[in-house]
Amino acid sequence: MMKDYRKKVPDDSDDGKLSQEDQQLVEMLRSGLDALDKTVSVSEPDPAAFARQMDMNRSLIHRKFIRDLLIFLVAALSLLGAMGLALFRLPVLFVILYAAGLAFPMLLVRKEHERVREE
Amino acid sequence: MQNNEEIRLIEQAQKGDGQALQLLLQRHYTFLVRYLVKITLQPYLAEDLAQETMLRCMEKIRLYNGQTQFSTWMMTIASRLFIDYTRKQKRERRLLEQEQSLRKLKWQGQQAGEAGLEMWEALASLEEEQRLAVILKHYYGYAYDEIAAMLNIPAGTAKSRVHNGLKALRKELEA
Repeated sequence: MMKDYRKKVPDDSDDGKLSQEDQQLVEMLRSGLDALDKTVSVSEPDPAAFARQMDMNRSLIHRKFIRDLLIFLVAALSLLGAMGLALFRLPVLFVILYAAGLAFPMLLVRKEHERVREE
Repeated sequence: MQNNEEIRLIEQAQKGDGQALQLLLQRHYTFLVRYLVKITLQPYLAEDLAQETMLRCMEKIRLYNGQTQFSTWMMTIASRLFIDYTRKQKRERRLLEQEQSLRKLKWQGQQAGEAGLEMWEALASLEEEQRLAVILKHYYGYAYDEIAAMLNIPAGTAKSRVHNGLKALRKELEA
């Protein structure tokens, strides 16, 4: 039997009292969603099948970790190589890259702030 | 409150016990899929997102800090995955898939003699983010602060999404 996760008393404490019209609407919403639960049958997963799925997930996580690690190492080595080369051969380019590297994350943060404010 | 067994399973899973993690996720699987069906109104998408949520939970189990119920933590991950999905998919395609799924659901509902099918249609007409907020507030009974934390938005935004969502639902049902 599935646990009833829904709180027994809906939390209206930060909402004030709902109007009678809204209460009716909320009741309709609850019964509509309960009907959806009855219509879409979701059975308890078979333990053996679930274990297989978990094993697949584990190997997926492992592969993803290896892939991410390789991407990180290649990117880090390329970046360090490029920066080292720029520092010793073209110091001006190094300064430009360094400044761009500082400015770019700041621009991203600012853009994200604006997006959140607009929401 | 989480029961002692669940707390024990979480602790074991965080220490790397694969069986404890499996048991923990297995116990919440049905609940998770049902939650996802409610917010997506698409059973196939709900299954896919549930799989992805499981994967994320396996990756991040060590980050679970026990400040919320384990089920709430899973719902948070699932909700954010759903929001990511809606942002990546083109709106037209999303609406088409939702419409097809809803038609099938309504047919199944009619066969089963269920009432309240018009509410599914009204919910489908809401923006996904409004639908999520309304369901979390008025079906699962979360407070605005909790919804805000789950969806990573300010509490005021959560409140306005619920308010506007209810208004849109009423309008849709009256139409």
